[in-house]
Amino acid sequence: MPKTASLSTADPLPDFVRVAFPYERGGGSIGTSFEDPDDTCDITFEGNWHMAKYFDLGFRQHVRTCLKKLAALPPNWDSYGAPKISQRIINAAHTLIDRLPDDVGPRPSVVPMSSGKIQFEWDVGGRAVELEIESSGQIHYLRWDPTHHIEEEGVYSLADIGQSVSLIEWVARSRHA
Amino acid sequence: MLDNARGPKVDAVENLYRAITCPEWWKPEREGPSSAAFNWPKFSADIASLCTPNATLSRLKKRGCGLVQFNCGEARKLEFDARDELDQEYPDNHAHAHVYCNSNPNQRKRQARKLSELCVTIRPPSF
Repeated sequence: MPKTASLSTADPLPDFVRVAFPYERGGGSIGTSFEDPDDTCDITFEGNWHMAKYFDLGFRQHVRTCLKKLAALPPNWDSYGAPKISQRIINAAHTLIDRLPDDVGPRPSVVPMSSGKIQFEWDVGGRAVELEIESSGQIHYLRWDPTHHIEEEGVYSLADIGQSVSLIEWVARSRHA
Repeated sequence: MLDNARGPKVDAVENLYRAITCPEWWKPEREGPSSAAFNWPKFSADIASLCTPNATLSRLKKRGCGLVQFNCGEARKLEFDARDELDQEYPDNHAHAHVYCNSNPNQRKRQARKLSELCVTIRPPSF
C-alpha cells in the first residue's frame, strides 16, 4: 500500500528528497505531496517542493520508439508529397539522444518535417525549444519565450552536446520557474 | 523562385486553411499546430472564401486530419507570401494557394513558430 508523504516544513528540503521527486509527464506544476510507490518512505514533510532534476528512465526508449515510427513513414506521409524521413537524419537523431544525460529533462515531441527532417520539440510553461536535425552533423535550434522577448535561433554542431543540454535544461526549468 | 514567376498575390484580407495531416503536427498542450506544419520554403493552403473546411479535408487521403486558419495579410508580415497557384494533383481546386516563406533561412524557425501561434483552429485533428 503506497504511503502519501507531505511536507511539514518550509525549510529547504534535503537534496536527496529533491532529487528523488518522480517526473510525471503532463503535470502542470509540482505538487505538494509525494506518493511513495514502493512504500519505502517513512518521513513526512509539509512545504513547497523544488524541482532540481528530472529522472525519466523511459526518456530514451520513448524517443527511440518515436524515431522508429518516423523511419517507417512512407513517401507522401504528409499528403503534400513529403519524402521519406532520411535515414541519415534518423541516425543523427539517435546519436543526439544517446549522448544526452539521463536527467536532462522531460520527453520531447518527435516531429517529422515535410523536408524529410526531424524536429524535437519541448513546450513547457510558456517556454519552448525546437531542435531540428538539419543534417547529419548540424542542429538548427529555436529558443522561445515570448513573455520575456526571447526568440533566439541559430545552428550548432550536433557533436556539441553541451549546447543541446543547455537548451533542454532551460526549457525544463520553466516548469517550476 | 523569382517573384514574377509566381502566381498572383492572395489578397491580404483572405484567410487561408492549412491542414494538419499528421498527429505530430498537433500540440495538445497548446491546442494548436506545430511550427513543423509550415514547411520552408513553401507549403500548400486553401483560400477559405473559395472553399469549405469539408472540401479541403475531403481531398486528403487520410482520415482525422485537422484544419487551422490564418490571415493572409498577417502571414505576409511574417514573410509568408501566399500566391494563387494551382495544385498539380488537384487542378480543379481553385482555392489552392502556395505559401512561400521569404525569410532568411536563419530566421525561418522563429517565423514558422510565430505563424503557428497566429493560427485559429477550425477543426482539431482526430487521428
